[in-house]
Amino acid sequence: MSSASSQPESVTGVQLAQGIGHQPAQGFWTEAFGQVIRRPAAVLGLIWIAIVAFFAIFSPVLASGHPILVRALDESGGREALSSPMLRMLTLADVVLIVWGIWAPVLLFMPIKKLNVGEKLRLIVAGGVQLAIGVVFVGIIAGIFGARDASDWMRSWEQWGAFPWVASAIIALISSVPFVLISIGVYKSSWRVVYVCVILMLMVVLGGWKWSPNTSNFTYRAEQSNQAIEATYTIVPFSPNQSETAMYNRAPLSTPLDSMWDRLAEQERIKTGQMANLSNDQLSDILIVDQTFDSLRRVSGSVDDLLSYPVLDLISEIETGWKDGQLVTLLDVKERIKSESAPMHVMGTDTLGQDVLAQMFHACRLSISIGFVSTGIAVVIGVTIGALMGYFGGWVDMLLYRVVEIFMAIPVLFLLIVAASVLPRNIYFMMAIIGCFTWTGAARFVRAEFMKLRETDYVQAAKAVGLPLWSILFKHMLPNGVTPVLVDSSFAIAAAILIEAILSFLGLGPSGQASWGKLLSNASGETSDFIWWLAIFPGAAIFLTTMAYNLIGEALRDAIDPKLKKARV
Amino acid sequence: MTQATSEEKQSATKSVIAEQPIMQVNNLAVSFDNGSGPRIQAVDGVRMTVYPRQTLAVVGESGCGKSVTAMSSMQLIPRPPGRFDRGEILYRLEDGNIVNLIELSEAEMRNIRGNEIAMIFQEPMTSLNPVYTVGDQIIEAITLHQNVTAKEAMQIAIEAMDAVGIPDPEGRIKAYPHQFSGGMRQRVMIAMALACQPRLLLADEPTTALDVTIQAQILELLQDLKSKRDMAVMLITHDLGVVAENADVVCVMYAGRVVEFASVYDLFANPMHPYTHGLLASIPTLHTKLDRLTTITEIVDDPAQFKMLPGADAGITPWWPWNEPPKDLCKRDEPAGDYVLRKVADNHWVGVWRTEAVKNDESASPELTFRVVDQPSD
Repeated sequence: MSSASSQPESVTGVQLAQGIGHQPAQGFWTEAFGQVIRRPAAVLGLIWIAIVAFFAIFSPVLASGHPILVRALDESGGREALSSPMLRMLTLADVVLIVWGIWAPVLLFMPIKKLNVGEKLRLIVAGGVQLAIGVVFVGIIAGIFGARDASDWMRSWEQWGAFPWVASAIIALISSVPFVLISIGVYKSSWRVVYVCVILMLMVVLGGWKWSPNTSNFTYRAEQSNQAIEATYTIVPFSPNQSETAMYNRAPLSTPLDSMWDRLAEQERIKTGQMANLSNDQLSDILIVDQTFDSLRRVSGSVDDLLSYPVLDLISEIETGWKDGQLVTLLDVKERIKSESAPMHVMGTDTLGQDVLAQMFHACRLSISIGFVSTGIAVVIGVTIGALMGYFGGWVDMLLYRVVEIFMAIPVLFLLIVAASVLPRNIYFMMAIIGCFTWTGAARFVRAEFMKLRETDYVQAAKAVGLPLWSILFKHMLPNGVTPVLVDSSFAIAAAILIEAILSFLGLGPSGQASWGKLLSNASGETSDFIWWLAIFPGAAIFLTTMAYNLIGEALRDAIDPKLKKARV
Repeated sequence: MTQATSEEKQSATKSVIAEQPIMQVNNLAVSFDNGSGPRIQAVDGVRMTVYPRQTLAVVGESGCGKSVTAMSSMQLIPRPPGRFDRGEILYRLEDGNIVNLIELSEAEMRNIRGNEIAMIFQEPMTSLNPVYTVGDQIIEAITLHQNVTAKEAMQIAIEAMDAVGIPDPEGRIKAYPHQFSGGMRQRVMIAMALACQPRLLLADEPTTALDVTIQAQILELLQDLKSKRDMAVMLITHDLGVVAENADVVCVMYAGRVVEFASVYDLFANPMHPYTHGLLASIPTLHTKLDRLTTITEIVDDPAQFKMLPGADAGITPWWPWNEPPKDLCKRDEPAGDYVLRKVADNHWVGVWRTEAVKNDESASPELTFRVVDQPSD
């Protein structure tokens, strides 16, 4: 294409026919997307969702209590074997997501002439779905075979060394069959088969490697202070489920040493009979005595596992300094302790002593997945039923609309609260319930659209060509009638995230999973004091995410609503 | 090799099949639900015949049932509210078997649509799906009916677009409908309809929405393709000029019934029904100077016009719903029982009242002896 400067300001039809100023065709969705990204608010929303999606994919390698690299040391401090506990502890879902998260943008920005952006996106989504199906099935099969009450033959199979590889190969093979058969609109079929096979191989390798999850404990820092290992950590050196009892409800930026100092200060406060915490002035009045070090050694017991160097050495060092006369008052001790480096909880910890920042990162995945999966389920059910109602009308419509009315009468939040007490507290059940009971909106939108569309000429023309029903319904009518559903679903995603947050806030959320709502529910502690960092950070995340989806939804609606379009032009 | 033999077979049977009508509409009656009111009888007792390589023009005013007849033969009438009350639409398949189109199941109908019978719609501006490129839409139709790969389908689509006179088909195949003008879109519709080599083309006012120059191009294109592909065409139109230029046989409809059916020369030279006469009289001519044109009402309000059929003395009177039925009407106890489609001359049928004189006549679908001469197909 020629540059903008060489383009004439206006062209005539004849010039267009000569190829002067001719613009390549732009599809409906490309144009709609172009309109969406013209709005700054929507761009901000997209950026925020991209950030959340980034952490949803990469949080296991960004926030982990397991070191990236561990080098075992022998007695004399010589270096021995090298290992990576972080890689070992990644689950299959983690690995698959990371692989997909790296390869998707690579494919998207790879300059392949034969594929346009739409086809690339379709390949990325299809590959992702294929992997996701594999992951779910591996999870189910591994769960059945690894269950405590598994029968003997299952046990004997599981003991066989090659079992994970064989099983994941079978699962990968079965889950790729539909992707070979279904055309995803990418013309060259032979290349599509190659692509599906590549993903199949990937699934076999990853499934065999990560068949069953490893059990974890976090003893690395204790081992480090015993000079048994050297360890390198990720940016946030905590796992979300790594609870440190000595560190409960610590404010942002606090370290184990802060916790140790606070205990000492507390003891001193009681000793001096003060009601409030001691101020720095008061501390500078208290001179260090021998007993101070006894107290210090006592309180250090609770945190010495959390530090990668022996805390007793630090105390001895302070004692030596005192004997040399460098340290005189408790304030000096405070400054000395706080000057030491230690792993820091940037956003503080919650009531179980778990790092808030690590939980914030890991909860992104729950947030993204609950929104997309539950809305995805709702859209699939709603579009199918709505399409049938709108296209056929008559008694089909009458009957199905009664079903819609029944489902509309069910309050989803209360159903979820009841389900939480009956069904396992599981994210998948929650997604399924939200999806299966909120599809009525999509169904009604699609019904109304299809009633309009079925009389249009191009639908008649599609019928006259002899296209099968599914093609008329889902290929020719749906893209023309799906826009209100699409707009609605961006709000539905936000609503699903809120529902999850509400449930977690009520203590009915998925167990064993980091969640913004769960963090928020801890903000008013047992003594009903307000823990601000447990309210501000997750609250802001929920707020920003729901607002981002709403902004995108609004921009999308403005971009595709024909009435608004006319007004704008 | 197999292709060659099948072509031989085709040419061997061609002359035989050419004698047989490709589609025959017999006593078709379609009505529509009108909510709380009585059903609307859109067509009643319609009979017409289409022969291969012929163009049957169906003319008549708006709402006379032209489109309903065409849509019925594709089963594109929405049911409900529509309903087939009576009649049959017999279609002769390539192997000589005859099927009744309005009794076929949806699955069987899908094999007919696009493949055997194709349709071009009136409104080119809205007949293409706005979210797909025209190439996608043509290719989908081709891959549906023909056992070809996507690449071959693309080639066929490009050829079809070239055949209907779209310049730069390779480039245009990736364009969206909104990038085409009305005439171009109608060409795309025709390309789509013809890509699957149908044996019968239903063109429902294909040029009404187009301006005259484009209209001429499109009709010329249809004529050309008809002769090249041995196709039958049912051309629905308002425009008698179009009829005179393009049709071989004309069917004039009024109020859901056929009032006159004749070869185009007979019809224009000797219109038998006053309504047809009125239609033709209302066309202005270049060489006569008139203050005002003759209207249809002037003709059909003239009782003398109804006494010009052969056998008028015996009481054979053209059927006209606005007139009082003749006194000797022998209404049969059946729908459209007051009407009979009577053969008045060779290749000429007129709808008349079922009076005493034609009491025992049985309506039959027209059987023309008129044929379009075999043209060498390439």
